[in-house]
Order: sequence, then C-alpha cells, then structure tokens
Amino acid sequence: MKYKAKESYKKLPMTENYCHYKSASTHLRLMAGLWVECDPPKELLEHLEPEKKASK
Amino acid sequence: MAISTDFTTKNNVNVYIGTEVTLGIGCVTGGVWHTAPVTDYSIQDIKAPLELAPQRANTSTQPESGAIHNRTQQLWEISLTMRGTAAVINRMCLALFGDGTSPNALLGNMPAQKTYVNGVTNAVPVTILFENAAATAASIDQHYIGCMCTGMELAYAWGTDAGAMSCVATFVTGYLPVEVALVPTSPTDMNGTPFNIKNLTALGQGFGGADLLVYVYSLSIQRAVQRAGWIDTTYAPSGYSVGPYEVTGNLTCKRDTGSYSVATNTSTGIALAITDGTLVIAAPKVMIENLTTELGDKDWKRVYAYRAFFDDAAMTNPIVTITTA
Repeated sequence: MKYKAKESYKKLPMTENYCHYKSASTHLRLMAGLWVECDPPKELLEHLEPEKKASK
Repeated sequence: MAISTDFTTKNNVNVYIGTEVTLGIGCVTGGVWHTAPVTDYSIQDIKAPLELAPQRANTSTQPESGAIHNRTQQLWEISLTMRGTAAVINRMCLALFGDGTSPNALLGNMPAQKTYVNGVTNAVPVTILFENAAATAASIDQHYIGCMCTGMELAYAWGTDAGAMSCVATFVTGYLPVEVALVPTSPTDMNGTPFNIKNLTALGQGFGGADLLVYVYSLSIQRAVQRAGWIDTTYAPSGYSVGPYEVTGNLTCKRDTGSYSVATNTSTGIALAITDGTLVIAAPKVMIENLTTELGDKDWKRVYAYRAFFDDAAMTNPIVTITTA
C-alpha cells in the first residue's frame, strides 16, 4: 500500500521517523512529498496518509 | 619485570557489531548485537599522528620539544571482510546509508543525516567488538565505539573464493579503543549462504540491456567521514560529518557482440543490472569510466570500470538499489 507523509511526519525527530525503522530511502521519499509503497510500523500510521483505493 | 605470558590469535576472536543508541556510548551487553561472519579483518591500536616543529637553523638533530602527537586528528580504521550474505549486506547498507531492509536504496539526496553529534541519540554509529582480542589477557575483549561506516565493497568472481560474494566494510572512529570484557547477551548471527556468482541468471546481466557473460563483478560504495573537534582529554570527537558518496565498480565479461553493443562514450547513463533472482543490483544510470580488453590464452574479455549516478529528474531517484530477498 502507498502512503504519503502528513505534516506531522515531517516534524518527527530522527529517532522516530522512518530512518529509525531502517529505511532512510522511504523517509527521504516521504519528505519529498511522494506516495511511497511501504508497510509502516504502527507508531507511524498516524503520521501517514494511506492511498485511497478507487471506488468501483 | 618479566615478559608477559599473554598473546592474541586470530582463530580465537569473534567479531560483533552493536547498534549504538547514543553516539559515544558503546553498545551495552544487552543491546542489539550482530555476529559478523568475518573471513578477515584489520584493527588499529592506540596511536596518533606525530607532528614535527620546524627545524632550528644550523642544527642537525631533532629535540623532543619539537614533536607532538596530534590527538585532534586521531582516527582508527577497522576493516571487516565478511561473507556476502543477505543479512550482512542489509546491515552494512544500514550503517552506510541508512537503509537496512531489502530493497536497500542509495538515493540522490542521501544521506538523510549529514552530521552526528557526540551524546546525541542516533542508531547509525556502531560498536565493533573483537571478542578475546585484548592485548592484556585480563581485559579479555577489545572494542571500538562510535564507529562510522566509510565504505562497502561487494565482489565475486569465477575462480576466486569458490565464487562466493565477499563484503568488505570499512569503519572509522575517533574514540579511543577500549579493552574491557564485554559479552553480548543474545547476538543475531548474520551467517547464511553467501550469494554466489554461479547463480547469476543466464540472461539479464549487464549494461544497457545487453546480455553479458559475467566472470567478475564488484560494486563499491564509499564516502568520507570526518571527525569534528574534541570534547575531553581523550580527544574524543565532538561529532562527525559525512562526505559525498561515490558508487563505482567493475564488471568483467566475455568479449562478444553483446559487450560490443555497450555504450562507453556517449555521456549518457545506461542501466546496470546484476541478478540471480534473489540478489538484484540495479543502477539506472551508470557510465563507463574505463574499458580494457583482457587478452589471454583463453577467450578475450572486456573489463568495464563503471560509475553510478542518479537521474537528475528527481533527487529521490536511486543511484543503486540492492535487493537481497
């Protein structure tokens, strides 16, 4: 599933963002405002916006 | 005083890599430790660059007062040659550019953090522990805290090490080596089956879509790490700054129609692909830095030296992606 960073994610310290979860590349892509395919830890879910699936 | 009965041997040493919580404070016994499947390693004992004052005119000898150990510049280098397993590659990528779960991607705008400060929480620096390596037997172990990875080279070749991939990782630290007993409580062994060149798929190796028959392959990711200032009488650093990354490598293949089609002078990035179906190394934009032809009694070979770049379209584009699972 793809996620995009909310403003709150961008304010997280390095010890709490995706770098802390061993994926600096995911962090940098989120910071760039991209939709990123990832499986976030539950601690980060509130700071990420999931992609809405198209309704049929 | 008598000659000590202590001695140290390589066959009695285990190597562990500990994830630090705070730069400058070594990983503790109960911390996160990984056992490194080393085949070779090098360490440095306590030393500092010796600097000399100008020679007084009309003298021909050097006084003691004219020399100083410049401890503000002390940096110790540790090199680990490990079996190229998925766990090792993931752990080294984490230390080198912050990605530790496959696929590990080095992006154009890395590193995410360019400076590291003593005493500040950060999970990138590591403690490297050499079990049973203390010069003084009573101390048992030797370890290096605050180590920063400066480079990693993955390499394998037909005819070398049974085709097994090796991973050479280098680290530096500005913190004094420590001799004291340290026993990781429950380390995770990074052992496993190393990737092997014999498993490369029949097709799909090469540059720009050309299928090459690969004899030798290597990938090197290097960066500079500089120490900054010092904090106390041990001259431990105030922190580190990390320099730019350079991604280079070599590929040796059969000289044939496929290798003839590889663009080597067009100033345009071409895609590099190496895959065995599990390990996949992909660099979308590489250019050939040098090309030599290896002549011999056997078939002729082409030896490419390449350098990888990121696509300027976005800083978040990858320079190289290493997939290990």
